[in-house]
Amino acid sequence: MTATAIAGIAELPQGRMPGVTPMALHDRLARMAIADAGLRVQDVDAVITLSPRSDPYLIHAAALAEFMGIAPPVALTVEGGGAAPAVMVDMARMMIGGGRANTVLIVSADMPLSVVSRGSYIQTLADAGPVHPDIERPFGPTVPALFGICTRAYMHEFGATEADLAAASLHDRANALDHPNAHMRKPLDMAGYLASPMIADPLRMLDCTPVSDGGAAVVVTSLERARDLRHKPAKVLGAGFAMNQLHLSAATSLTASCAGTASDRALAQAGLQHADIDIGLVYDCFTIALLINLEDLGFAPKGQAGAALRSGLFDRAGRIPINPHGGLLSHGYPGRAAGIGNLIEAVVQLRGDAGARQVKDPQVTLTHGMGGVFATHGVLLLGRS
Amino acid sequence: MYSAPRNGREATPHWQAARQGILRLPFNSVTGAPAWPPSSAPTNDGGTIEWRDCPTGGTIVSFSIVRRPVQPEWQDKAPYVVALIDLDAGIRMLSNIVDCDPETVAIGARVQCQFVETTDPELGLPVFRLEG
Repeated sequence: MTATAIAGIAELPQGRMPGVTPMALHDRLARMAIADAGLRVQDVDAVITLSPRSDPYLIHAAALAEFMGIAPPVALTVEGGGAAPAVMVDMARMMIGGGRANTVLIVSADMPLSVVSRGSYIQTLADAGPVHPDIERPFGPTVPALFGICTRAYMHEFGATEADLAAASLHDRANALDHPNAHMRKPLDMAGYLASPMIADPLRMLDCTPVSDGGAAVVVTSLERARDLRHKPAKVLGAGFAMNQLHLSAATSLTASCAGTASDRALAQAGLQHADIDIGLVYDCFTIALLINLEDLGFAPKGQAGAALRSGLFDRAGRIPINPHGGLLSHGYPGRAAGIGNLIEAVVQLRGDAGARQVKDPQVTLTHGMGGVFATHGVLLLGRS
Repeated sequence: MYSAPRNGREATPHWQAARQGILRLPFNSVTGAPAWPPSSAPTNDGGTIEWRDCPTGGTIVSFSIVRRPVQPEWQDKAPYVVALIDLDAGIRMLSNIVDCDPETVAIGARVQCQFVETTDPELGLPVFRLEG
């Protein structure tokens, strides 16, 4: 396969973005990422987007191309849940490898806070998100309740406590304090965590992500071409995917998933070992997701992610830094676009541009995304070329 | 009153039976495997979906207490319990634990099915209460 790389990136501060339309946000991110790569808008010959909940179109990517005044041969809008960033980059790889495109623009953004309203966005998720519309929805399960069910099962199985959940929340918040684009930048301690109200026992408000306007864009091209562009390329080393089911009612386990299978597939494709990973960007729409995903991705034994977080193992100066940008829990959760921030941080860290949150000399990053309630997983390995 | 599930779906026979006070669930006629959530019956072994009337007992696998409802019809119902239940019939089902203090619900507790009406007069739903 033709080696590919991420040559351009763009991200804006996550949070409330009043006075901007979702399409203008996509356009701005796209132009920033193309300029970051040192390319021109006219160079783009494929656009891949997600359909923002705040601004749906028949073919969103084609609407964006039209808005930008370009007519690339390929304009695709895909659905991949939280695993979408890995899906989109892998699609770009195949397009470039197959000769279909040279310069693939990926834009993933949404404005659930300013355009849709937080409340109606959350209702949309409960109506048509990971909740089965026929056999689950009549009983009023919220998304936090579905993750709450997994949390209680996890506590019951492993003897975990709210201290383990808090460890995830506090870890991400501490990291976000150093990120100018992070949505949640107020210092948080255990007392603050415990003071946050129960949303869906045993999950508190601070076990859930905020709802953010935001997102990001990346430009993918061949590694050969990327070497002549502005930044040190972030080479795509491998991608891997796995799924068990979509709905929680069909899950064979409430406390483990196939994230590790996706990771193993990506490592095999890259010809790497788990020990080669220098930074993990792990999908954490809830604290319980960080705990279970850390374990299933091989960063901690089952039931011990909370203890590992408290030990400092995953701090930026620790042996395997996790979510140095603050994760979804504190960097932000831009609706349909959630997870693209993990990909951006991987590239920023590989470039050595992370400033106060820079991890020392990373060579390989693992970016993990998850769709549904531990349902689908996508893993992308990036490295210095 | 519960909002009716969408009619004309794979699970409609289940909801119609619930309205009559029967827990009727789908299985593969050849393998006996549960078809829940609704799924296709692989035809290479001649299997079809077979609806069976099932015993009404089950065990709580896990649960959450919803404090912040999001759907309009649930706004004044909090706190309420959403649980996964392993039915004695071999099917895992998401439903509510009703008529109890949510704080008394526990993993492993035995539950019995009862039926509630919905806004569609032809369709009911199974909910559960703690045994004893």
